[in-house]
Amino acid sequence: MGLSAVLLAVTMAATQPLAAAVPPSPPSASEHRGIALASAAVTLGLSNLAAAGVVWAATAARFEQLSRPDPFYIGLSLATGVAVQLLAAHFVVPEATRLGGVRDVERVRAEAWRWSRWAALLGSVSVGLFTTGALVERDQFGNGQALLLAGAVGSFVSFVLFDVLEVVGLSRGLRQP
Amino acid sequence: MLAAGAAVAMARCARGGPDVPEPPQFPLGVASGDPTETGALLWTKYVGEAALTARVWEENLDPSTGQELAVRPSDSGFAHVEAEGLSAGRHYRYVFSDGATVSSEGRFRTLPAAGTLARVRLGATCCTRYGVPFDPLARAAERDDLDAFLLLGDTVYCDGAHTLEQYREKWRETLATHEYRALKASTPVIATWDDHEFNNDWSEDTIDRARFTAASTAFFEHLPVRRNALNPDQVWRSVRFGDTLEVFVLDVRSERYRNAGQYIGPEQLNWLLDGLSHSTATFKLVMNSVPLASFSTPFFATTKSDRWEGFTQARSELLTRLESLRPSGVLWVAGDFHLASVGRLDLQGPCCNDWEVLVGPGGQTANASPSYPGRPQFDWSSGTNNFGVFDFDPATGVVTLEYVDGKGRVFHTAKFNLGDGQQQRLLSLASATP
Repeated sequence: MGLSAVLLAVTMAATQPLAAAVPPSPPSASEHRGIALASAAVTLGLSNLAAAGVVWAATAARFEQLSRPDPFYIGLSLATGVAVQLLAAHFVVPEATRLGGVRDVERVRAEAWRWSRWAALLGSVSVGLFTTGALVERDQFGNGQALLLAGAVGSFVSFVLFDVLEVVGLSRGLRQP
Repeated sequence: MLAAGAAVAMARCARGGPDVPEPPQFPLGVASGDPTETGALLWTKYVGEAALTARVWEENLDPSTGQELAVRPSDSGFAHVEAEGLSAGRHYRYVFSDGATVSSEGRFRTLPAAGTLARVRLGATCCTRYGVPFDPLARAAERDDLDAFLLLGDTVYCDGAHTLEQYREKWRETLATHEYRALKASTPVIATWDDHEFNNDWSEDTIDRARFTAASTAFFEHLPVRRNALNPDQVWRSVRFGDTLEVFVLDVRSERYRNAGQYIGPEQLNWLLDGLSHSTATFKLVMNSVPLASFSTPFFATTKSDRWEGFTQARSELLTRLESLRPSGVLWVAGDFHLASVGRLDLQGPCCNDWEVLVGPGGQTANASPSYPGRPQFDWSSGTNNFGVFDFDPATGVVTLEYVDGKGRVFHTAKFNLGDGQQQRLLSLASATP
């Protein structure tokens, strides 16, 4: 959640020059964009925790069962975490903007997805790489580790990038008339 | 009075069960180490000013039948005293006393006599970080069938310490735990060091002398390790259990020079190879704190520079010379990785089919790699905290290694056929069902 708050601040600061180039539409009397964006960012942070919690719980349980990590299971857990994150970001996070009086949530949802889908794609591909590496690693210790490594790094990068782009998209969506 | 006190102490002998506090005069309990055929090195930390003695007597006999030894602690209260003149292959008990207070009771077994082919059983672990539960140690302390317990390094995590007092404090907090007090009282320890007794990943050319002196002083103060008369800081040595087993204890840190590519010094290397090839013991166990096996994979490559594998020439020289000597009955045991494993030294090359097992960690977080060593080079691996129990049977040439977890459950067993004249091979692996 703290990460999302930091990302929110950085994003707002970074997009200020862009926002200044486009004349802002007059705010509706009932919309408070700051509250809307903050609510969405907090919800996004909670969805991060939920996704991370799913991955952690599943991999820890499997480790407890086998007394060693199961890379294929980790891949499946990552896929589940990605799904949880995407579903929450698409269906739940935009709804949080209603707390700022936003009525046209669909425009916010569409704009957020327009930005974050690329990170979602990167995340999905990374999880695919990781899982492929896990399958190669079975009975051939070491052979799949390059893919595992690439998938792990890509997953982490996409996890951070998704938040950044989601917040950018939410912000842009809130500015649209 | 001492005999009566010993009786009281017997009731207080910490054996891995609920914590029994030590008398304040003996805050770290008692220990024995580096056993011989006729004795062992006894140890305690004494807080007080009175004259100190130790009593040693044969198990199941009255303490008054034993011998009383005068003990001269160092200025800091660390006491090391040799119990000598005992009989081979027997169990003994001991206590320390300052006349008013008696320590908890310890137990050790002298080594089998030369020429004896008795079954030998050793415990072993590594990596015990204060703050992480030491349940495996507590389970090991509950056993009375171990002839000794091997401490493979990273016994104490002293990272961040610089002065002798700082190192002592790190040792104190770890050894004061009831698990360590119980373990050290239950059986002799045979110890070596790895990096964390000094600082993470240190070598001789990366640590300053003052820090080395402080760390090594604290190591020798807190463990019953017999000092070499010619080189008091030398840790490498061997311990012979009759004709059944010879344990070669290596020091793979203090002779390591990264810049020169030297992993261990030439004297230690020649001693090891000479010892392995000429030892008449059926089995030779090499205590090597950091693995010799190759783990040539991206995840494990990040730590390659800190183990044999990162010193390519030194490793190649050792294996090539070992291959030409072909000693029988050799098993390598290592720690450091925070995982247990059973595997070959390599997929190809000299000694590629020799076996190395990793035991422990005894109290640490598991290795964080998402992929643990597996086939074809490794037959098994696990991140469960554990201690290993080696059973050396000279009658059959078989070594059985049981991995025991913090609940006392044997969760994996490996059997090796290492007997002389037979092709050395892994006989079986069996894991307990969860």
